Amino acid sequence: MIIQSHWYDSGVEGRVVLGQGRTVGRAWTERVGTPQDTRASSRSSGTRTQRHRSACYCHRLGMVRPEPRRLSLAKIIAIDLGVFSLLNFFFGTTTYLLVSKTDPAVRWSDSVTDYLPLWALTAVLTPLIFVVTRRHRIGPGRGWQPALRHLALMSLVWIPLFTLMWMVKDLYGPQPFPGVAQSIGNHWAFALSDAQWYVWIALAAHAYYGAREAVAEAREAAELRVANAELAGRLSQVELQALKAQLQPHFLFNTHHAIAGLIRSGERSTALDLLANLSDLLRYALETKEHAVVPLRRELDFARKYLAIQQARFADRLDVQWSVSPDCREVEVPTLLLQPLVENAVHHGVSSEREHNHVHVDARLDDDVLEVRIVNSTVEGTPDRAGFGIGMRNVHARLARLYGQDYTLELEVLGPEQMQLQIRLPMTPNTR
Amino acid sequence: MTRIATLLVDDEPLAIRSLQQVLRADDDIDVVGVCTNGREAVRAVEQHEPQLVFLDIHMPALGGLEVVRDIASHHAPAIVFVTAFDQHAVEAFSVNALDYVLKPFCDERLLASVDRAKKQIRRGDLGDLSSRLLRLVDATTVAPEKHYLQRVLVHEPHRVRVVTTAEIEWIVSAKNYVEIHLARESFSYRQTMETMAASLDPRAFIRVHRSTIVAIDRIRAVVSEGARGKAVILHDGTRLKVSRAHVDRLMESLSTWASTAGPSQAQW
Repeated sequence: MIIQSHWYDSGVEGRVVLGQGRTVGRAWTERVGTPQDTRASSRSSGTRTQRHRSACYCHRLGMVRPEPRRLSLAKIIAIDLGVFSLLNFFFGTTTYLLVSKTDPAVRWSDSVTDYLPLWALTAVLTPLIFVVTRRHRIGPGRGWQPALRHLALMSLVWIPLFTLMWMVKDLYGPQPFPGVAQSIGNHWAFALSDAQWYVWIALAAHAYYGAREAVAEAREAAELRVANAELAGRLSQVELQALKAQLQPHFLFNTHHAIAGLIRSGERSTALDLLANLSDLLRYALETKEHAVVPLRRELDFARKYLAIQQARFADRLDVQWSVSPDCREVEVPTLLLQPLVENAVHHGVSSEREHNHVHVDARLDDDVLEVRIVNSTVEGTPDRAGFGIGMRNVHARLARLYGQDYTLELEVLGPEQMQLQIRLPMTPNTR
Repeated sequence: MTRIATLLVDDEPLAIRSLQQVLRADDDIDVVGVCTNGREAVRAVEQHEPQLVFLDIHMPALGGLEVVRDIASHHAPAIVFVTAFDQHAVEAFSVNALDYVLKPFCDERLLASVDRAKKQIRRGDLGDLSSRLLRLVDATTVAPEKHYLQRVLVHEPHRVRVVTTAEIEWIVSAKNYVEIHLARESFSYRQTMETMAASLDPRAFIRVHRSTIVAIDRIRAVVSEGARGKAVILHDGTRLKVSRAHVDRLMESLSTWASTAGPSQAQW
């Protein structure tokens, strides 16, 4: 399948937006063909440029956005000829109308053909001005280079060519040719005044490319907004999934197994406690809704049950301490805020061979700011639990959504084997 | 008939208790040792030369499969693997005809495994066990995962901050240090750009310029800046230049990231 050049030119001009395989905005990708097709074509002719490859990436990414459609050559020629034929007709006719008042012998067709060389040359050179303008636009913040280029084009190409054009016209004109020097002398001033057309055309080119870019930018901005909004929605879903996944499978099965151990050794009531705690955790996690906030006491309750289960599993290898001041218990916090943090705190200890590990949870109000600290023992070289980094980021993302800039979440090394995580939140989250 | 010397290995006391309680029903089983981590288990195997080992897969420091790796070449007891959730390992057990039980197990299931192991031991057909264990080790040994940077320590006047690499959005070099940008703040970090680039997980970070590294999942768009090349736009609107030399790698990373991204599984 052949890809139209201005589409896969996206390597240079298009843009790619990530949307996890989904298309945001219109479905441009259809035009690009299947990935197999593009890959096959780039393989079959190894020398083809990376344009094929980037088309292929774009497709796999799900979105290709071309720049505003570039005009085809036929259209450009048609517009160019059309515009300058019209100008020729207009100037020829007005001249004829003016001159015919004093000189009735003048013919309309002579008057029109008289202007033909001027507009024909302008028509030929106009695309050049557009090309130069496209690459080098004059404007604030663009430096002197573009202006110099235009000046050079005008004085070194435009004016000499027009002088030459007038000379050629002399050569084939009704009067005998007066000689090169004389002819240049006659016409350079005319050519200089023809430079005004350069200025007008360059202005038109600037207006055209400026407008095109403005339209593209506006559209880009609008689409980026849509993409961001979609992404934000999807992200919070992913975050929540990730949060729920924290309670998955190793923890669940191992806890079940611990309960089985208690049953086998006849510790009926401990087994039932553990089972009840586990059910509470599951219920809490399953009930959790994306933007829900809960009083801190419910989060602490969750953490308490979670830690109780871990203590039951690891017996005296884990020591848990609590200090919660009563006045902070009703402060609203996002659900499942503490779980990934407490989990990592436990992980650091019990995934080492050390016999004694501790987790200390401290919550209090400090000048209308809720401060929760989790201090835990660490072991040099114990990697974070897989996904903890992602957990941390999720927590950041959720807190940022609720509190904007008004929260802090910091990990800190307290000593060689001790680490602290501290969260500070204002008392009222923005739940809208 | 001599009793079968048996070793129990699990890092959770209640799990050990389960094994003990169930095995008590079988007079042929003689529990010669109980270990709560892999290192202890390796020592105990050398010391007691047990005929049967109940081996937990997921343990701190040295897991069950590493224990097998350490002992299989010189001692091959009958092994019953005990695991909560390790799909990859379980597949390898089946392929290599090795016995395993899943947590939580009922008494009958564990006793069936004991019977099977007893028959093997009595018949003395542990012959190829060692080779099967070694095959298991091969099958479950993931290419030694390079350890990438997980966190950086940022020294502040009165404390040491810990920043997990997942919080990093982008990094820019400045002379002989780098500037690490998080969502809302940035730090100077004494490290060369080269070292930084080499120590970060290439699945999560990509270099877009000689002086810029970006977290792949923060990239929202790749835009063209006309003749000036390309730029990436991060989710918060930050615009970073992409050098020509890095464009291809960037696109490749983005496309593979988009197809593989997802929250990583919790390990226990």
